[in-house]
Amino acid sequence: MSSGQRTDAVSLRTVAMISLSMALVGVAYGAMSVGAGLPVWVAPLLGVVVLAGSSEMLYVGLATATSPWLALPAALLVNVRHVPYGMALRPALGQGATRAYRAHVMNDEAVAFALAERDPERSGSALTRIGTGVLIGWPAGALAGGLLGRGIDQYAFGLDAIFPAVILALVLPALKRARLRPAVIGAAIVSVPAALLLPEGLGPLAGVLALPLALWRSREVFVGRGEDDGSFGDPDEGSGAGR
Amino acid sequence: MSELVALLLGGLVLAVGTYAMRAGGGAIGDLLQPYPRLQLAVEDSAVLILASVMATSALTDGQAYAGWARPAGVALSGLLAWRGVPLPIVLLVAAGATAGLRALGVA
Repeated sequence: MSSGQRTDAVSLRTVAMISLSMALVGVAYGAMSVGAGLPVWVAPLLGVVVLAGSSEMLYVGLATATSPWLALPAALLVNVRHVPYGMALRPALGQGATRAYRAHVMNDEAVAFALAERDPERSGSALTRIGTGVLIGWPAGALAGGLLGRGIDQYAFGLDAIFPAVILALVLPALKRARLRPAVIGAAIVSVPAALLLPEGLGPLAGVLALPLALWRSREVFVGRGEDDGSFGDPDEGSGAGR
Repeated sequence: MSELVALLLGGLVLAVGTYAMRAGGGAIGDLLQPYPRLQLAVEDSAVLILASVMATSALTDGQAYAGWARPAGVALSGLLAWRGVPLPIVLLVAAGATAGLRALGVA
């Protein structure tokens, strides 16, 4: 991470890459929705107003198989992780209309890039840029998938591997930090059995159980930073994923 | 009420609920401002949740294992990302390796 430079937090090229990768996942989502008997415009519409990929796929899948009112609590549960995302990114949200917009585009990818920036302004700019890229790519991919129809088999094309691969690439820099490494590995290990045993959406939240592994070494962060300093202090420490 | 209307109404509730959680998290974050240690814990938690989202989406499908092909494709892509390969190539390898393994009969 290049700290201190007065350049934009993320380049347009990076935004385009993330937008394109989300479009690929969106293709699978659109094809699945049309395959379940929904009109082509439903998946892109939900993509714009919900903008939380895994919960939309779960909602459409469950709602068409059972009932929307059974699918809704499950889909909302999948999104509970956005509460701690919002808490962590509070200094980056800004005010007024900017804050309202940034809250809407706060998805996994935008959060990963925003957490990687220590300066609140750069962090907020990363949130806006990556978030906008996903807001364009995800519904556009869903529309393309719906138009292409059932011909797209996401398993045959390996499209289901793209979302975890994006997040892995974004989390890797956190793995390179000695302070967070044990906790990140611990969280990944704990969350998988939790996902198999608990209702969908709670598995990732179980990763927080690994938090003591990170806080155990948090003393390093506060040395030379001052107790009453804000959360955005030393650019090379603290938490953060992305690059 | 037609099924489509019900599904759209549910989708609207999902959109409002999701937005409320995102904006509400920010509002709770405002209350944490005077406590830097607590803030660090919250930031660390967000990173750990991201790592868990990665692990669960790579290894599980709902409440079942995803099989071997997808974790293998994701692991290979992670190796390339670690070595500094550009993201679009990393993602194409993830999908290509997963699809290739399935074509070879690996679940």
